[in-house]
Amino acid sequence: MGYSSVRGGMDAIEHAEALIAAQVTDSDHPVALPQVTDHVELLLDQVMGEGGVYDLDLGALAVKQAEGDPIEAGFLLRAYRTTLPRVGYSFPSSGRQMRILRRVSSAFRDIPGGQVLGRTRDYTQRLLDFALRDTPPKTLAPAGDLDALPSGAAPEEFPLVIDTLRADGLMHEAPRRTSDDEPFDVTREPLRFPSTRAARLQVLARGETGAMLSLAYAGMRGYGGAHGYIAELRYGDLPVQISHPITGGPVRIGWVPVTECYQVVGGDEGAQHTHDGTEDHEHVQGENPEYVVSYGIVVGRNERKAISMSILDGSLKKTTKSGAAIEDEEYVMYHIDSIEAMGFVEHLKLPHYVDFVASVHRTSKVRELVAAARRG
Amino acid sequence: MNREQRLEAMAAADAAAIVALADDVLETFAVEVTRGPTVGLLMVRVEEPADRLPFNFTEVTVAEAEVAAGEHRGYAMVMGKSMEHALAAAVLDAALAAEHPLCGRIDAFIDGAIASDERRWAARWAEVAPTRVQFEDVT
Repeated sequence: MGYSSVRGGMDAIEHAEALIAAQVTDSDHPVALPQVTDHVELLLDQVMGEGGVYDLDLGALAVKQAEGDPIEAGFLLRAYRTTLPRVGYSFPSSGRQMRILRRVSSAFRDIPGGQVLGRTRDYTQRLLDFALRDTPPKTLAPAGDLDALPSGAAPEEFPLVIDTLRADGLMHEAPRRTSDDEPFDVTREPLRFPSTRAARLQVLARGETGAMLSLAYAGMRGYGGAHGYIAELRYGDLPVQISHPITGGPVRIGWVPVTECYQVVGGDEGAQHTHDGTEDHEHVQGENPEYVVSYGIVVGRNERKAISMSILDGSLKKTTKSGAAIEDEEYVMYHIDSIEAMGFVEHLKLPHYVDFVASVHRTSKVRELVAAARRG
Repeated sequence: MNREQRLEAMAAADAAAIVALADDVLETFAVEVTRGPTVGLLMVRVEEPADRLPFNFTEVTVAEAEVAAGEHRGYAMVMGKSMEHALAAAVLDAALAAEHPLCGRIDAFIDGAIASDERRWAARWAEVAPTRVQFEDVT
């Protein structure tokens, strides 16, 4: 075994690339993209969320090409997005405008509009269903005559639960209008610390699900987080609205499916939780304790990540820190990005021949010096 | 129906159907393409609810086009990568602005697109509506 730098290997690399390409395509049952969009929806949603681009066709292609590796697929999306021009920014959409398909609250039993369980695995037993090895018949009855169906529920049927807290005086009032501050865009500018909450929310929304779950779990177990209450967890379609360039009026050009989590913390349990450290609505403990909201929103159906995001948002908003890692925005924001983390960890398997040769030379030299010293 | 509502309907319409209708309109309607058609990314912003703080949430792919027919302009942006869809919608938008003879057919198409969109949503809601919880008090 020799320790020296080398050249070559192109034939081997090309063959390795051909092998991986064949792995994706060579099969008696090749994966078609509609199979991914129809049956691997949760993985697809995770990939689009972490890749930062919502496009079912591109997301499914990335999942197929990456053999189902969510981080690799997200990397493919992030790389592809750099080839497209940015045409603009939408108007800010609010959860109040969502078309709701699922909505539960663990804080209140009776909420205006009621709880809608929607499509959920929450109440199923975790038993393998061997019937799925074959293709079972559809078990859901068809909707019937579409023309005879009642209208779908309007967003107004489901007011935000936090508005109830506000009405009861348990939360500070919302500002009358949207903040005029231009949001930081992490896809355009490098992160700087301290960052803004807008930057943090963007990074969290693009963060890697497993990493965020891990940090949030650690926080709940006492490492800087909080065990709050989920005022509302919702899934549905969020409108995408632009300014019409001819009239200037708002136009909805479509919808993005999202999961939202509104977590409330505080009350008489946590004076340290405030919203973004601003002074005008500072949390008041004692005579008039308030609840504050921490927020999570993610692309598609990904409740695990939405809840984790709300926990991390709450930890990062604290103005009184305990010193725990998940209260440190630099720690959280740098380490939940899947592409950054994957790249740095996995680069270790690439050739480091020169570095290691230098290390070996240094080690050998030190050993010679030590031996010489011992000989006197 | 205002221009914004028309674009909302055309953006939700079936791409093949709207392209076919635009082809028919273009047989008697000359337009100049003044923007695109192009595929790009739109950054979707979300307003955080407690402090009404806007932030950049995710990008979506969009196709965009603009046309001119004399003094009349037509514009469309649709989600996804179908430049044909965007261009067809821009053509129909300009045709309506210019009061083209096929306006009645375009209006009917738009009405149909709105109705289809509402039916799709109604069907999705009908699936989950039975999961609305009716709590019972145990006494």
